[in-house]
Amino acid sequence: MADVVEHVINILVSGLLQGSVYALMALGLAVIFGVMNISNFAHGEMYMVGAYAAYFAFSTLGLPPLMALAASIVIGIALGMILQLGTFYPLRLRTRENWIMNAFLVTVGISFVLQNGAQAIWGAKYMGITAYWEGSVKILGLGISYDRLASATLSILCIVTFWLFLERTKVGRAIRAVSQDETGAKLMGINLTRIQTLAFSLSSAMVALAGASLLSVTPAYPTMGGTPLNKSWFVVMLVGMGKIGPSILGGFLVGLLESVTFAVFGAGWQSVVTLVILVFMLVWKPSGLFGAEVKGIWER
Amino acid sequence: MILDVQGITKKFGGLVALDNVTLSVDRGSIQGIIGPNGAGKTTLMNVIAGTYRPEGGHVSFRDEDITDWNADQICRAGVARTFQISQPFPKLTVLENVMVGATFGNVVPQRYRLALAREALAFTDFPLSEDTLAQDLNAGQLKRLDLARVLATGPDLLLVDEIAAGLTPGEVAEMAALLLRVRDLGITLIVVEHLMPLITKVCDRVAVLSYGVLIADGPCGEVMRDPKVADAYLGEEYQAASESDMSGTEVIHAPQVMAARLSEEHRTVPASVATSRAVGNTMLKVENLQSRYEHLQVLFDVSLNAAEGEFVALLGPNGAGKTTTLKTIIGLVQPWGGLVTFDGQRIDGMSEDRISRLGLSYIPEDLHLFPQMTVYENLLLGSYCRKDEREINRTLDFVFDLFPVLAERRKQAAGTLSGGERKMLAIGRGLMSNPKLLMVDEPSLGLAPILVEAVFEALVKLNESGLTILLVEQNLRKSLQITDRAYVLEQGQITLSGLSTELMKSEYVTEAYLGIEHKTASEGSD
Repeated sequence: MADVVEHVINILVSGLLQGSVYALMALGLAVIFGVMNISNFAHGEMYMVGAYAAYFAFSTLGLPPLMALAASIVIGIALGMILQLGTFYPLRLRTRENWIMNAFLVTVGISFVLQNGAQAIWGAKYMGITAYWEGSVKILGLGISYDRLASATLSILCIVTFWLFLERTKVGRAIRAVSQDETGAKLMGINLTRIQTLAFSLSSAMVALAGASLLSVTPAYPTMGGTPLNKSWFVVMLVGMGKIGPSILGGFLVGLLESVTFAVFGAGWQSVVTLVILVFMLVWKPSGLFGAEVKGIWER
Repeated sequence: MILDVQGITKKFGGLVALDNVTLSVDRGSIQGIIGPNGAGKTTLMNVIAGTYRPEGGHVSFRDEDITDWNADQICRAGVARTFQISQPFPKLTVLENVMVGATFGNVVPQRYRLALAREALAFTDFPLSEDTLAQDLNAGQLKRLDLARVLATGPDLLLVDEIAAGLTPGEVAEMAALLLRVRDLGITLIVVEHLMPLITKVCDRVAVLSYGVLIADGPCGEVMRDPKVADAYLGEEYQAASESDMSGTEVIHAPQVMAARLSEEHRTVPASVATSRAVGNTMLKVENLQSRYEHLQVLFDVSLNAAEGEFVALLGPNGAGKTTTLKTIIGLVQPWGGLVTFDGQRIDGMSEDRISRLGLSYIPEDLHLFPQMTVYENLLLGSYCRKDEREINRTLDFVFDLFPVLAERRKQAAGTLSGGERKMLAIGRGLMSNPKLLMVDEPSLGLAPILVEAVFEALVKLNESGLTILLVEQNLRKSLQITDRAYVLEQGQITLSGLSTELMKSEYVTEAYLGIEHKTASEGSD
């Protein structure tokens, strides 16, 4: 009996650890979709850039772990700014017709460029580290490496900070306003370009941090973005596009779902189970679990 | 009986758009449906045409239950409709557009389709060549094309949604005659319309919807006299107009809240002040403004100005370009030509957020509130560009003072407010930036008469406290009562301007607008 309880707790804990990172990635995706109407397919490459940034900061420059992670955030913000001001901003000025499709194609293009750029510069090889912090801790009988724990803690910290930023600050309010009614926001004197650049940078920073924090689990390599991209999309499609609260919840849900699948059917079945659920979801309720036909990243 | 609507209920989330509506329409008759904006008129059309599935009730057409049919099945069965906003295929010619109707409607053999399309066009007296592209048509021609297109589907029942919106009084009369000729073909019509002249001229019976409830249904004259209808829709003024018409003397019936301002002394004062102020500080100056959407030029050489502290109205029929004028001033529509100066600074071509930051507040007709944020958050966003917390709180108190209901609802999400409360929130939010000029678009639209009074009263109060206001309204009489000066815009051109007191007396205004009201009112009370 005690064995069963321990087993269940193991499943729960590893699910939550994984889920917190998914939540962080999905949150970034949801923000970009909610505020800018962009279906970002370069999300995984932003994750990759974060991982590389942390690798070079930690291994090459020999910075302490927290500094390395901070470096990935800074690079993430810079990347987000460059991408938004270099591609989406001029595209928006040129035409807003077919925005969803055009912006989507731009993100696919960005993903190709970043992926192949990384391969051209650093080559198709793994660049990993053994650990930021050596060692592990036993929680409820389950050994968890410090790195895993740190990545979950950082993710949750990041999510909470971002939540408070949206809820409490004037700029956060402006971001929500833009997501609910662009024209209304402009009439309040809100500079749309600035808000969009900010939202894109923050989103990019969040996913870059996710990539960086898991560096000891998944080393940096050019095509590493595929899995996190799929996971993030799976989460937002499951709960409803562009909603912040549900995306966070969805991240944890998917994390749990995977660890349960892993325990019950084995590792090979994880994707099968999640994707089957997604197919049924799209047939049964295409707007997602918590989806509603209201625009805006904030549910009330 | 060709159409029988039994107990239809349609909900959108928590909003009950139609509440147990029952209506039957006799073959060969014209049934009118009127009601304030948001009453559910178009929703009812959509339920009949199969665009929406109702939550409850049944629709039968020629004794067949069509409630669960798809829109295309219903169309082939002989129910056709026109839309509030004309939606032709822009790159097809007029004839091709009508051919689409002839091909996919109540199907006729192929060799007759061209002839059928031409016949439908001829029937509507279409004024241009059949080879004109649909994108080059004006409002009146588009409405005719719409009608020809649905006639070519060979309908038994025709649903006509606001076909006279944006037409000039002359075009409305022609449209009325056309609808009567359509009826004479043996086609039953359901006409949703705001324009009472059209309704009273063509309809055999009229049904009145108010907040989704059918409050009256009967012969035209009878319904017009129903006090419930007057209350919900026509407003006190309408009755007053008909009373005055019958007694033969012109009495402007002033609602109590306006009484003070309307007495003779009060009316002359603001006018004289306005003339003296107009010489001084010009707050807004618009010169030869041109504006267009794609191929359609909407504004032609519009010039107007407003002095500091003045209350100016921009009036005119639906579709005249009033909203476009405001949108062009605020930068939501880029001007095609002309100059706009605000507070001594050129603002044409500037982005809308920059113009807003200069102190020009625009309250659009469709409000653009942030529905998932609380009333309080919406108001705070109004003060986005201001820094001084103390000042912001002072304005907030002022707004809560002006609209106490907003203070009560400050923690409620804006999306859950009623129409009137939303309007007040939009005005309040517009005031939070402490603007130098407030532009308000159709504040009375879709509001119950009692709320219209409250909103207008607030505007008067604001103006008295020194705020310059540019008001756009269709409600001509009331606007002239409260403003200092007014411009009349018709088909994108300023056709008349002057002191409101004088415009009120001018023959042109009485004939073009008030005259219509009087006539309908007296017809209605025959």
